[in-house]
Amino acid sequence: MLTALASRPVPVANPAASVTELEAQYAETIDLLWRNFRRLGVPDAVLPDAVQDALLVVHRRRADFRGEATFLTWVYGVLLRVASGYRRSASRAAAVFDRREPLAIDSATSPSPDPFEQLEQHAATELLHRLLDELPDEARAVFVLVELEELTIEAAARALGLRVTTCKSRLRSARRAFDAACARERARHERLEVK
Amino acid sequence: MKPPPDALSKDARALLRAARGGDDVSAAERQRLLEAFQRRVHADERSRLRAPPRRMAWALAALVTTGSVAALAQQGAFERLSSLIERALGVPESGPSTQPVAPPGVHRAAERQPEPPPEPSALQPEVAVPERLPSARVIDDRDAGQETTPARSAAAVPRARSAARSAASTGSAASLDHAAGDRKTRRDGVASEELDLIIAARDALVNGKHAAARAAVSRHEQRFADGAFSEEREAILALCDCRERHAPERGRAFVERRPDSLFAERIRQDCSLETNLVPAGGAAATH
Repeated sequence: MLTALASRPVPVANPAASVTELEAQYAETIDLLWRNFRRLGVPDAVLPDAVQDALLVVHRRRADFRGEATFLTWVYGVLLRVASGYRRSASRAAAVFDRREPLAIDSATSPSPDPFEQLEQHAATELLHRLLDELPDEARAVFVLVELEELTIEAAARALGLRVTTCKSRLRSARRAFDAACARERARHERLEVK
Repeated sequence: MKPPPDALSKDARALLRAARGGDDVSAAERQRLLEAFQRRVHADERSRLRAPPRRMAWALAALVTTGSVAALAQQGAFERLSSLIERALGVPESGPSTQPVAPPGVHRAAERQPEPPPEPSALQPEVAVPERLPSARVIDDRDAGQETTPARSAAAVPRARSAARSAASTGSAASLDHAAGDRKTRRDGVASEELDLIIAARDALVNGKHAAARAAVSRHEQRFADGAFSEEREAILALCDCRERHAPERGRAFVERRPDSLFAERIRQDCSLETNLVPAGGAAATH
């Protein structure tokens, strides 16, 4: 999927574009934005709005894309900036939207129709989000791009506007923190099982 | 084999594998996003076409300014120019003026320049309503551009709207002033929270953030099922459905249930329902 998006030509402006045309241009971008906004801690309640905003930025500024990076890396850059804004406003609006509304279990497309596998996947996703929440924002972004989106360190560094060495260092600390969080989770789980 | 020192632990890798695909968007949600995006793109393009290009506006402003200065200089009237600038800045005039002195309000009105057109923004959905509905201010889109300007404090907006709403409910202009005067005393905790939720929903709706609007409305429904703003809540939901999903069912039900509501006409328009406007004195048309 990522390869397809990376090799896709930059969308061209078309004011009268139909939904089908926009779908052809942006369907993969929507997938990418949606899953990564979730991983980057954008609350589910505002997820569609965040995707809309990022899409609009990509659409408006596609002319500014100069081809110095791949289109994919450029989209990641937009994604990270929009996610950062939404996280900030989400914390400001916590008084009003203090409830994280989990998406319905069947809202994610699953390659398997097996409800038990789907349930397992849902539980794993919830746990993943909880552990990602424990990472500092900077480390989390690098971790998501490299470990989950499988970008190279160089591409992640470009999307984040960082030096490669800085990116490597953040990835190392993110991995350590994620491993530690996993170990804590396992210990907690085992304690519960013993009880 | 020993894993490289930087690699993730076995548990962590297992978790990433198990969660793979769990964050993907559903086909239905993707379709909804695309449809909403298409509407925003079209609104964006339309507003760009309507607004004059910024460079041209700057060039025109520069030309007008240069021309005015040249004309004043030709008349030997730099004194008048400096006087105008001083008056615009609120500096009291030092010397006697040859111009008749008008009251301050008249001065300002006469010297006020037309404001430049607002920056085109696709975040502000385009709406066209033939007439102003006073009581519909709480969810009236057109208020957003004027009332949520950066110059106003965030706290002032709900307070002003609270006053506007109480004024509208009594239906008198005098009560607007009264409401503004003693709004602090009547803004008890519960009412304030309820109103804040509705205003949050309304602001989200105005900015095209339909998911946020729905979240606020849903929270309002949970906390204030029979609250004072249940009509507004229903209206916001109906508008969300129509704008985001082109689903007029909720809007139609609202209009049937509350044909005389101040929000009914707006919902009829946004949901493309048959209009119910009749000439003054005539009976309302039946659907």
